[in-house]
Amino acid sequence: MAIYIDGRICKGCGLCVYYCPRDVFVMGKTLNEKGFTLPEVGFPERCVECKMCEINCPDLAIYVSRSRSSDTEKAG
Amino acid sequence: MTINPMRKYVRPHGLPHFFCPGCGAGQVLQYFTRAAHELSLNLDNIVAIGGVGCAARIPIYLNVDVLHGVHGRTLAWAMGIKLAKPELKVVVFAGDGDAVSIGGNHFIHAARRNLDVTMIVVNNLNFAMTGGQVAPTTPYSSVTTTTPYGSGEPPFDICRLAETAGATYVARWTPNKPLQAIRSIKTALSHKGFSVVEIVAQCPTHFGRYAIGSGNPADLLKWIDERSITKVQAESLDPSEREGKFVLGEFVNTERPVYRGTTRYEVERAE
Repeated sequence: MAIYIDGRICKGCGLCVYYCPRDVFVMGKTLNEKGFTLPEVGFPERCVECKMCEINCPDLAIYVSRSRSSDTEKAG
Repeated sequence: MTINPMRKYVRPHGLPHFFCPGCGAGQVLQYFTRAAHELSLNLDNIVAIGGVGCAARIPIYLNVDVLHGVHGRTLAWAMGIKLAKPELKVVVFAGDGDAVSIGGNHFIHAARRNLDVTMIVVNNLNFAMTGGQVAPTTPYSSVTTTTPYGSGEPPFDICRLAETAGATYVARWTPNKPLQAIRSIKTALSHKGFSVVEIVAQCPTHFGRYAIGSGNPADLLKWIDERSITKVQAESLDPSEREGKFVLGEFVNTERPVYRGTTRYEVERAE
């Protein structure tokens, strides 16, 4: 599992933080070249690959690659 | 691959788009691409139409043939395209201004004729592109730039209007219900007849700041979620309790002969 955030087109709206049911994302402190605050994947071990962040990102900036076996034991 | 796979449906160099941070129109753009992806639609056979407004900018970013221009006249163009080339799939992206205020008359008559187009109405509850003025869909007593003491008008219910005028597929969802919204867009795209999917979306820049006092899109989504009830819940409520709530669900899914033209020549040519 990996969560990719395209920092060039992210506008830092924070909807990934709102939608994530496991609170994986945190708003970071880095700015992109347009001056938007980028979110960061703060707790990747909590991710259950539900893709709510990817489906609901208004800027199509997030991609969640699923691991081959989506087991449920990585709850954290 | 490390980018969202739905970006293949978006024009190269189209992103970042013009929508404000956290705008619901960007989410509807992604919902549409996901619905088109799941249906394996051929993008060469789709015409997307947008009028004027924030939501009407959605087709510009889609990698399909696009018409964009006059405010509220999207359905008039859709009718022309449908009569000339009935084999094309026509999708209209409209805001609440395009659909029910400036283009309100086109809307009810397209529904009456059962024109075979899909209309995705992004209802952001105000006129956002021009600065957050009161719209026919603004909830009662909301503060906007033109109603500083609160709107005194009852709002339009787009789904009930479409249902009464004769649309054959009508559904309403919010971005809090993304999977249901994608499913409804899929059903609407494969539906034969006038199909309306209303998405009650957030406008953090104008509606959020003026009406609820927060420019954070998450706060506005929570505000919308608190006022959303399902169709089943709405049936058990009194009409007075239902006021100010967004009733979500699929309201109509029927079949009826579609519009093929006003003269016999057009009807026969279409067949």
